[in-house]
Parts: sequence; structure tokens; C-alpha cells
Amino acid sequence: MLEARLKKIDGIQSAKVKGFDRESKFYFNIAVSESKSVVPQTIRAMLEELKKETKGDEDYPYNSMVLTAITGKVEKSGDAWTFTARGSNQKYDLVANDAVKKLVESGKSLLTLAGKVSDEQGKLRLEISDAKDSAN
Amino acid sequence: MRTMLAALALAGVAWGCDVKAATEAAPQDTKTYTATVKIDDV
Repeated sequence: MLEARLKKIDGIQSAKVKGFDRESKFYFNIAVSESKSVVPQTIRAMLEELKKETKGDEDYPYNSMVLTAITGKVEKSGDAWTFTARGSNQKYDLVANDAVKKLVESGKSLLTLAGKVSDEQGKLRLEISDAKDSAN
Repeated sequence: MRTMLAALALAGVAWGCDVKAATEAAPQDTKTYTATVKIDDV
């Protein structure tokens, strides 16, 4: 059910159940076209729609979203770091780690990143866990 | 006969252009990024 709904979201090319854990969470691996932006609000909107259509029978709260590999441009302005995804041009506020800082200092700006996405107060934020030069 | 051959040649060129355009456009369309989404069960 959820897998099929995820696949219907504009831009999602594949969605596969990764697993189900003891804390009652479904995990899905998704692949998204670079030209499209799928963010936490996109997933929440799908879940809301599902709940509405099933009159509350299918009620699955959103938990979290982690980008596992996304390529784009990293920029620093003052103390603020931003990431602009390649293709969709979706912008994220970046919480840069040492790996990102080192890559940018060495002149690399097109990077492939992984990290948790949040959108508290309507601002997309990407908390980096891994970063590498997109050419690698 | 010449007209027919010319028409066939033009069609071949047009088909070739279509194939070229499709193969050039394809890589951009197939690029993806990946994510893991967690959804609670209640």
C-alpha cells in the first residue's frame, strides 16, 4: 500500500520496502529523478491524502527522511552554508561537517552528500553525515 | 524512382535525428538521487 503510494509521487522512480523494525517503523528506499524535488512535506501530503481517502483507516504518521546520495552545489556565505540540488535546484540550509568543509576549501563545490532532511519552521535543512567529490 | 529514393533518404535522416535527440536527452532524465523514508505504523 505505502510502497505503491510512494511510487505515485511525481518524480519517484522506484520505492522499495527496506524493512520494518521493532519500533514500528517502515523503511523505504526511494530513487527520485534529479529534475524533481521530493521533500518531507511531499511525503506528509501523500500520507494525509491516504488517510483522507480511507476515512482514517490508513493512518501512517511521517517519521523522517534521510538522503543517501544527492549531488549538487555547496556554497558558503559568511557562516551560512547552502546546498543547491543538481537538476531540481532545490535549496537546503546545510549543516556542514568537516568532510564538506575540507572539500570546499580544496576548491570542490559539486559534491555528493548524504544526511538527514528536516523542514522545521518551513526551512529545509540538510544535516550532513557523509560527503564526497561528485567526480568520485 | 529518384523522388522515392530522395524521400527515403530524408526519412532516414529525420529518423537518425530523432534517435540522436532521444539518446542525448536520456541521461538527464535517468539521473536520480536516493533517500530512505521512515513511516510509523500506529
